[in-house]
Amino acid sequence: MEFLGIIEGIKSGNKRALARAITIVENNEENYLELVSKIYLSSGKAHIIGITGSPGTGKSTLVDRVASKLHMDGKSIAIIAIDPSSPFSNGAILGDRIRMSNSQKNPDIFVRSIASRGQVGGLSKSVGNITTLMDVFGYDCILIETVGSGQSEIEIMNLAHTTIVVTAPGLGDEIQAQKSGIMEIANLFVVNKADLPSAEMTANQIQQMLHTESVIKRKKVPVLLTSALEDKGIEDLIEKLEVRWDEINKTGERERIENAHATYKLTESLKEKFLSYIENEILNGAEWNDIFKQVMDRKINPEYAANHLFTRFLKKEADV
Amino acid sequence: MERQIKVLVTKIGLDGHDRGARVVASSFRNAGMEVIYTSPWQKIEDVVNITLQEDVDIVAISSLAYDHLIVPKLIEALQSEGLGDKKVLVGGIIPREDEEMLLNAGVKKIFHPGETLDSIVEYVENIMGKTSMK
Ligand SMILES: Nc1nc2c(ncn2[C@@H]2O[C@H](COP(=O)(O)OP(=O)(O)OP(=O)(O)O)[C@@H](O)[C@H]2O)c(=O)[nH]1
Ligand SMILES: [Mg+2]
Repeated sequence: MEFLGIIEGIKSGNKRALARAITIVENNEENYLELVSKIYLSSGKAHIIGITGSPGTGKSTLVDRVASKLHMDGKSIAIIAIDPSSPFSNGAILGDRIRMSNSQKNPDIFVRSIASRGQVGGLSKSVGNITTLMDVFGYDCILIETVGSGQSEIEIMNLAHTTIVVTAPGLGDEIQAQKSGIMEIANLFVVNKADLPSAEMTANQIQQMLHTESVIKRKKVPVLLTSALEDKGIEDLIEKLEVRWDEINKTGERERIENAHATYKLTESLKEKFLSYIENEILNGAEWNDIFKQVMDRKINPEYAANHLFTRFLKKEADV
Repeated sequence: MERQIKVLVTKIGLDGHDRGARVVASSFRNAGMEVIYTSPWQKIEDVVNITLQEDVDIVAISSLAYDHLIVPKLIEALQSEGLGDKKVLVGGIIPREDEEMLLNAGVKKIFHPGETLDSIVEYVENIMGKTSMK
């Protein structure tokens, strides 16, 4: 498919064009920046929802049920399901679809599996671009299931309007969550597997912790019980999502969120540019070896050396 | 940046024994490919849909109990959705007398029991124009 054909295709609802465009973005293919730049101009309509939480808490199953229900309510839905890449082979088994049987059987719901490819920061860049493609295609809601661990949990906040943190009873997640700061990113808390005993207790513990936080931060985060397996509590969750979307649109909160997103994306992209520039200009520069040796010989402190290199670099730039 | 090979490993038809499919999926992963893995019993239209949405390069069908007989229908369905460029492979228990029929229908390659996992991986790398690193 030709470049212009792809852009036209996305705008006119051609799924093949969308799928192809996602591949282009995922692989940083030659034209990807031109493609996303063109597409970006028409973006900004979809409600972007991130779903994060520990491995095995039922994120995929929950996303599947939420997607089906939203679709029944007349919304058009796309899902991005991220699974980890193997750090050894760079390969990945993308298995979230196994738990997404309803969505998979519904050709109106567009599911795309993405490997994390071990990129810090880079992942959110390509996922952000994929989100833009789906948004311009016309999906009302885009659900992003993250790899349930590490930095991706925090990163999702820089992409999504709404972040759902999913937990399940008996994981000890309550305590972990408080330590890792994940409580702070949640707009909605879901205790899934409510069909299991002690789900209620888990929900109560989380509620208590959130209560303490909300007093400090003046932010109220709903805690919901769901059983994705038994399809229970889904309607309640969807109602909360809708209430939130209405609210953030009315109160100007959406603009604040998108402001933060734009700041993040712009600074991250700049950092990337600077880093590769520095790599070329300084790390491969003439002075590097000499300074490095002096650091190793303990003649100059690394921070001082960095200052020196940076000053020299600025001076050189000014002379050009 | 190197483009990673993307493969769909799935099962169509009524047979649910997916051990073989899993082993092959792991081999692809270990060779650096990205593998979409599904539950068994996929309908033809589901496989077409997944192939379209995921934009995979390869569709690998595992068949142990005559599910291979519906592969020609799958290929037809892929073609009518404009997905004729996807390479369809079949592995498992395929009677020799059905081979020609499958190849004529557009199956790229058939793997029989006893085929080493390495040779399957190598085949995929070759048709995708990637030279094996070994
Ligand atoms: N009892 C019970 N089990 C559930 C529920 N939701 C999901 N499960 C099961 O929990 C397991 C993990 O579900 P997934 O949906 O794959 O969980 P996940 O969080 O997406 O997992 P990863 O993507 O691997 O992190 C599966 O065996 C599901 O069937 C639920 O509400 N109740
Ligand atoms: Mg999952």
